[in-house]
Amino acid sequence: MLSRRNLLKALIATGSAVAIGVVFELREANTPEYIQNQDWQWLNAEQAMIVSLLMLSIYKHPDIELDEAALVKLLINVDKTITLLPDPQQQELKQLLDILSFSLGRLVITGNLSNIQNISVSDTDEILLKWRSSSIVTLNTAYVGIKELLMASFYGVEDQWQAIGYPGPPRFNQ
Amino acid sequence: MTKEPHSNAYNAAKLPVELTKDYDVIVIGSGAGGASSAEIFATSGLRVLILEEGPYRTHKDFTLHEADAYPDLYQEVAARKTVSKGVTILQGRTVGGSTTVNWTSSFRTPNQVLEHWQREFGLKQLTTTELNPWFNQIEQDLSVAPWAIPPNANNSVLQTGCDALGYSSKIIPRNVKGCANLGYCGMGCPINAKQSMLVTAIPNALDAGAKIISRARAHRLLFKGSKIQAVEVQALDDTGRAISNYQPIKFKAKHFVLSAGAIGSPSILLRSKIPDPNNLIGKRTFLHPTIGSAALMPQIVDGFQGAPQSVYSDEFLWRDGVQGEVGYKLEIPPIHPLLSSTLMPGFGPEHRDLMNQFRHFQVIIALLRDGFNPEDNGGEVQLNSDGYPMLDYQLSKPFWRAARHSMAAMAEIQFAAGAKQVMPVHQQGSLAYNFKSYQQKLLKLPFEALQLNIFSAHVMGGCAMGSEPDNAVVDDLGNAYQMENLSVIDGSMLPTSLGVNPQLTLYALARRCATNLVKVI
Repeated sequence: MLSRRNLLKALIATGSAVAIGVVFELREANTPEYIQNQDWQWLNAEQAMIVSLLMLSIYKHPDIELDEAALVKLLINVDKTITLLPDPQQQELKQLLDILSFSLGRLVITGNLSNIQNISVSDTDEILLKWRSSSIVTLNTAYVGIKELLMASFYGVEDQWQAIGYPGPPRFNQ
Repeated sequence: MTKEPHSNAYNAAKLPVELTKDYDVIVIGSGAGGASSAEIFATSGLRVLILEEGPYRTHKDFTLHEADAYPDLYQEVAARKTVSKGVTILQGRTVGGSTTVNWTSSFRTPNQVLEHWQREFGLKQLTTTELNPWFNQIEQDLSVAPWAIPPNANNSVLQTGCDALGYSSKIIPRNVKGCANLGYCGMGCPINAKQSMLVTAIPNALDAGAKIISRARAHRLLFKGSKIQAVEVQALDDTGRAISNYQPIKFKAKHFVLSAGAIGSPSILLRSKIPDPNNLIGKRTFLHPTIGSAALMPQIVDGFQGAPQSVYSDEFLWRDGVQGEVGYKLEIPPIHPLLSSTLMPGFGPEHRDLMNQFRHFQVIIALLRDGFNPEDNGGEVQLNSDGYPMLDYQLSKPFWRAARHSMAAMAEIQFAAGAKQVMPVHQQGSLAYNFKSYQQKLLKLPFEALQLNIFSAHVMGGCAMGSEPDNAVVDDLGNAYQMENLSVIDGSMLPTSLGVNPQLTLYALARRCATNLVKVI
C-alpha cells in the first residue's frame, strides 16, 4: 500500500530542488484539446495527460505509430480498465499519478522545461528507468503498476495482435 | 437483465422474498470446496443455499479474450497482489471459483505431505489409505486421466529438456471430457469439456434443489455464544462493488460452511470477530510462489495453443527432503499476449523487440512448495480499514534461495531442449545465449520482490486443520473448534502448501467433510 508516509519519502527521494509540498498543477491550458474534450470515466484531464506522456515512453518502438487518434483510443481503454479495478487499487493508482504529476511538474518548475507539453520521451524514460531500479520500494511499485496497466491495455486488444503474430482466440460467443 | 442459467439460480440484486427462508446449510463460496460440499448436501436431501460473490457465467459467456475474462472471472482483475505487491495472485471469482478458470491439472495429495501433516499437526486420519477411495471416485466423476494427446510445443520443451538431462518428467492427468485442445482454459471452457465445478457439482446440486445466489458477498457471520445464527450478505454490482443503498440481507441456517477460499474465508471470520483464542485465523497462508523462465526457441511455439499444462517434472520437488531447502514442481503456463506483455522485461524498444518474437517464446514455471521449511511460515490475511482482505506475505530466505536454484534449473532444461536464448522472468531480465552466460547474468540480478516477477494461482491455509484446538482452527473434518455449527471446507484448511496443484486435494477433503456433516446436521 502506498501510504502517505511512503509517498512523502518517495517524493523526497526523487529530488530536492523543490520544497516538499509544492505540487505542480498542470494548467488546463497546457493540456491538448483531444484530451481536454474527452468524457473520461475515471481519469481527469491532468491524469490523462500524464498517462499519455507515459504511453509515449512505454510503447515507443519504430513499429508503433502513436498519433492523436491512437493515443486517445488507448487512453479510453486504460480509463475503462481502471473503472474495473477494486477501490483500494484505484486509490493507489491515484496516489501514483500524484507522484508522477509531481515528478513531471518538477521539471517545469525547476526551469528544465517551460511547459509540460515539452517533456520529451527521454525525460519520462529516465523517470521510469530510475523507478525500475530504485532502492525505494514505493518507486518500484509505481514502475510495475504503470507498466502492467499500460501493457495490459495495449496487448489486451486486437490492434497489436497481428503485428506480434497472435491470431486471436478461436471464435466463440463473440 | 439476462436470464439466470438455472431455475434455482438468482442474482443478489433482485431476490424474490421467498428465498430468505431458513436453510439446513448455507455454503459460502462455490469453488472446489463449496461446490463439492453443496452437491453432497443437496443430493442427501438437505435444504441448501450457496452464496457466490462472482457472477454466474457459463460456456455461452466465455469469449476467450483475456481482456474480458480477467475482469469478469478473476479476483481483482487477475491482478490481486500481496500487501508488498511482491506476488500477483490469480484467483477465480465466478460460479465454480478457480475450477472454472484453472488449467485442469489434477494431482493427488503427495504422500510426503500427508505424512508431514500426520507428524506435525496430528492429522492421523488423513492417510493415503483413507483418501484413496475418495480420489478414485472423484477421478471417475471428473474424467481425470493423463492427457492422451501429444503435448503442445510449449510443454514438449519441458519433456525434451528433462529427457536430455536425465531428469524425470511425466504427463499431467487432466479433468476433461471431449477436450478440443484449444488452450484457453484460463478464460473459461467454451465447450464444457473441462469438468470443473461449474459443469458438474454445481448443476448437480441445483438439480437436487439447492439454490445459488451470485453477486452475493458474505460480509459477516452473526453469532451468539458458540452458535452462528445468520450470515449477512451484501449484493454486488457488475464490477464487484457493494451496491449502495442496498440493505444487507440476512440468511439463517442450522449449519454454515465457509468455502470462500484462503483469502475470503479467513477474512469473513475476521470481520465477524469469531473467537480466536490462539490467534490462528488468517495465519500461515501459503501461495506456491511461482516464478518463470522464458526461452526463445528456433521453432514456433505458439504457447497460446493446445492443452496449457500437460507435462510436469518433480525432479526437484523433494530435492532436500520434506523440510529442507524448498522444493519445487516444474510446469508450463499458457502464453497469451496480455499477461505476457506485463511480464516481458523493460518497456519501449526493449519490450517490443521481445513481443515481436511472441510466437517463439516458451516458458517454464517453478511452483515452490512453501510452508514446510521451519523458516518458511507463509503470510497473513488482514483486513484494511474498509474490511477488505489484504494478504501480507513476506518472502522468506529459504524462498529466495530456492528461487535462484529453480531459475537455473529451468534455464538448463530450456537450453538442453534447444533454446536459442533464455532469460528469467524478471523486471531486469535479459536474454543469454548459453547456460554459462545465463548463470553469470543470474548472479548479477537482484532477487527481490518487485524485481523478480512472482505469481500464485494456489492460495492455501489461514484456517488450518489440526488435531488440537490450540494449534488449529478446524479439525480434519473441517469442523471449527470454536463454534458449534461452522465448518471451513476449502483451501484455507490446508496446514501447509501441497507441492501440487490443489484442486483434487480439495475435492477429496470436501467430499469427506461433507459426507460426515450430512450425518450430523
